[in-house]
This record gives sequence, structure tokens and C-alpha cells, in this order.
Amino acid sequence: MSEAEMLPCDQVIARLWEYVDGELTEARAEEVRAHLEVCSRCFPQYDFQRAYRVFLRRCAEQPVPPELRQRVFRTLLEESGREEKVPGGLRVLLARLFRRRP
Amino acid sequence: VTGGITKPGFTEEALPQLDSVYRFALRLAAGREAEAEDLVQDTFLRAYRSWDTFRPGSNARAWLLTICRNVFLRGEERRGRRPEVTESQIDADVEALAATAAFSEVEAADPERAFFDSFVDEEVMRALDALPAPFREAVVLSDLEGLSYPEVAEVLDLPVGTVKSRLFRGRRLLQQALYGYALEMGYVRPKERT
Repeated sequence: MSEAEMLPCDQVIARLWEYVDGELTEARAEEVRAHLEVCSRCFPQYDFQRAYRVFLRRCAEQPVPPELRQRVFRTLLEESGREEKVPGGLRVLLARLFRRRP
Repeated sequence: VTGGITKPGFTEEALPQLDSVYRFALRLAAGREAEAEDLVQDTFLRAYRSWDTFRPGSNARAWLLTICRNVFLRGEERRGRRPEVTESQIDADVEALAATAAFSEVEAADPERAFFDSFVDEEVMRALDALPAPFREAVVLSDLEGLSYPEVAEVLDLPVGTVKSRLFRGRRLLQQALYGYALEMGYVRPKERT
């Protein structure tokens, strides 16, 4: 891509998050990528925002406590058992009666 | 253990989202664990009861996170908790911050690029929990859960444009908060003004 076709810095910065998030069309992303490869002003910003995303994803890796997992399974098993005891027609009627507004 | 959960597809599609729903619930409840756990339990119970409304092949995670948020908001209403900020306050906060993009300060203060490595996870989650809810939700769904903009829009029931502006502002607020905290803790030093 020649200099003349290159996106200006302000347009790259305006699209930076969308680029980092992978939300641009391939054609747009290519324009941003081409700019970042050669622009020493924009690249560090891109690098920072990308590092932010990787970092935040890593921080949040918090699995469900085992007790909660068991509690959820128990609740679902009970609910499953309860539903089986109620005849289908009655269940539909009950569901209609107790349906909440969305 | 799940042999008795009888609705077809629920075990395969919904249950693997338990970690995601828990992470989201924790942040909705601003780190209050007991509240988050109840929220997860309610979410899965409701999801199970209305599993027949789930369109097979659509995004189970977005569907569950939507339910989780609805359960949370209904609980907030019941407890009489008012929304913590209004839209106009949001705009005012953001205006005040507009001139202070965290990046340029961090860049000046952190030539080794070790800024993000200096925090422990709890510090970051505390900073995230301190964000106003509309920003926090957008940041959590995108940055922690990796949802696409349209998926975040679906969960929050907002237009994609609004999602983007909340997400970008939320990130800026969070980065700014982290930078302030890092200065306070001495993780970074402000650049000498010459």
C-alpha cells in the first residue's frame, strides 16, 4: 500500500478498539494493520490496548467454587424430578398461570 | 451427576457456561460473593424452566447472561436499590476524563511496559467493581467474557453504537483508575515535568 492510500493517524486511533476487538471488516482491518506496521505514534497505543485486553482476560479467570457447582446441580436435579411428577398438561397450565412479564 | 437433568441439550449447552455466568454475576454484584452465588443458582433454575424458549444453535452464553442480568435487576428493584448513576452523570464523568487518556500517562511513566504486570487480580477486580454499572457491564461482557459487540448489545438490550461508547468509555475509566492506583502504590512514577 502506498503512502497516499494510507489511513491518517486520527482515523486509525478512532478505529483502534474495533481493530483490537476484531470487529472491523477484513478490508478495514487490513488498512489499520498496514498503518500500524509503519507508524511509530499509533503502534504503541495499539500495543497498550492489546496488552490491556490480554491482561483483563487473565485476571478474570475465576472458576466457580465447587460448592456452588454442586448446589446448582442439586437444584436442577430437584427441579427435574419435580417436573416429571407433574403431568404435562398441568405443567403447561401452571407455567401460563405463573409466567412473569418479560 | 447430571444424569437426572432431563431436558435435552441443557447439560451440553447451558451447564458449560457456569464459569461465565459466575464471573458475570460476581461483577454485577460488585464482588459480593454470597449474592453472586444466589444469582447463579436463580439464573440456572430459570434457564432450566424456560429451556424450551432457547433457540437451538443460538448463543447459549449470551442467553444465560441475559437471564442472569434480568434476575439481578429484578432483585435490585425488589430491594429498592436505585440505579447508582444517571445517564447525565455518566456523561459528566466522562467529560471530565476526556482529556486524560490513560495511555499517554502510562507510556511516559512506564518505559519498561510492565504496567499491567504490576497488579494482582483482586486489585483489578476492585477497580472494575468501582465503575458505574453501565460501564462495568459492557467491560465485563467484552473484556472478561469475550463477547462480540452484537452479543453484548443483545445481553444489555442496547444498540451496538451505545455498547461501543459505553465499552470504550468504561475501558478508559478503568485504565485511569488503575493508573491512579499504580501511582498511589508506587508501581509507577509520574514522569517528571521539565
